[in-house]
Amino acid sequence: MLMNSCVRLIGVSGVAVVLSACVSMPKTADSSAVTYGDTKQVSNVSTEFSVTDLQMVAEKMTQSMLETAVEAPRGSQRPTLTFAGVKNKTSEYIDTVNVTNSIRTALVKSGKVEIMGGISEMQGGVDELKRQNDSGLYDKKTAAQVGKYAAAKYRVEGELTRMIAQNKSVKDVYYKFTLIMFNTERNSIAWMDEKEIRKSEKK
Amino acid sequence: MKNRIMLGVSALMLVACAAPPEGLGGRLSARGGLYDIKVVESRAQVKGDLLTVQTELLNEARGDRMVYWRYRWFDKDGMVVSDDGTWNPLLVYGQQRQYVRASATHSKARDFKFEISAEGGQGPK
Repeated sequence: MLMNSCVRLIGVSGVAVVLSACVSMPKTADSSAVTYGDTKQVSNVSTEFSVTDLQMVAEKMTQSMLETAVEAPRGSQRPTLTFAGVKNKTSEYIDTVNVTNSIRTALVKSGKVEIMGGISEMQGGVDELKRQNDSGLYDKKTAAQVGKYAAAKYRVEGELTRMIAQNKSVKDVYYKFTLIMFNTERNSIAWMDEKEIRKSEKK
Repeated sequence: MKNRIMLGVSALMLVACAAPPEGLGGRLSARGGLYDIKVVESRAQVKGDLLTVQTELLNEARGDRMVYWRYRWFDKDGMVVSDDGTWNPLLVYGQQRQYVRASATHSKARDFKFEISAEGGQGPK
């Protein structure tokens, strides 16, 4: 009887071990053509503006801005910024909103600045205020009040330019990303920085 | 005989590539050999709540070397503060000293690790 119980236990354990060995990654379909990669891996597929370039630009601009531009005295309110957009002056299709979003994300996470919604984000805010105040559906005490938007003291805008030099054997591409922070009231430049990237390709 | 010599030379090269780099102690994380790139020293300062670190690199070879570097930031308890940083490519000319610098973007960062990876020699220019 004891022998039978032991044999049964060993059998069940063995099946469990075999089954656990068969269960591998939790993926729905076994496709050897698709693998996940590292988002921070350096991309040198081409001389076009790449993931790595976007990440380098965003990192440098954020660090520079936090180091020098937004050092508010202790006890004072955080500086308020709005992003007015980055002009793509190259002939490449580059979504510069991606770059500014990465910068804004890092700035918000730092807690050092207050980012105000930009012009393109205003309509969403206005629509929500109308919904809360004019629809008659919301308790006035809990509804967000109209006319309470805080103005941004600083406006951030920038541009991305590119220069190409090439001959029969080499293509040399230079990008420059410039970001400028204007004092809204004075229209003076409160901070400015640039990130240069150079890539070469042998043909 | 020739094959044995080639095998021996290859083994020696592999050992040389795998040699651990000097400097920075536990704050240096090198992925593989550094091909004559020496991480000389790092300096850190806290300015306005944010930790800024500068690291000096020296290319001891005559040829240029491409390196990739980044910092990782930790709080006072050794917990990672932010997502992995971007790998920054940097060309270090032969016999050149280069200084790389970065700031943490979170005030909790109080320690760092310097990560570096180097590509094999590109030959003297």
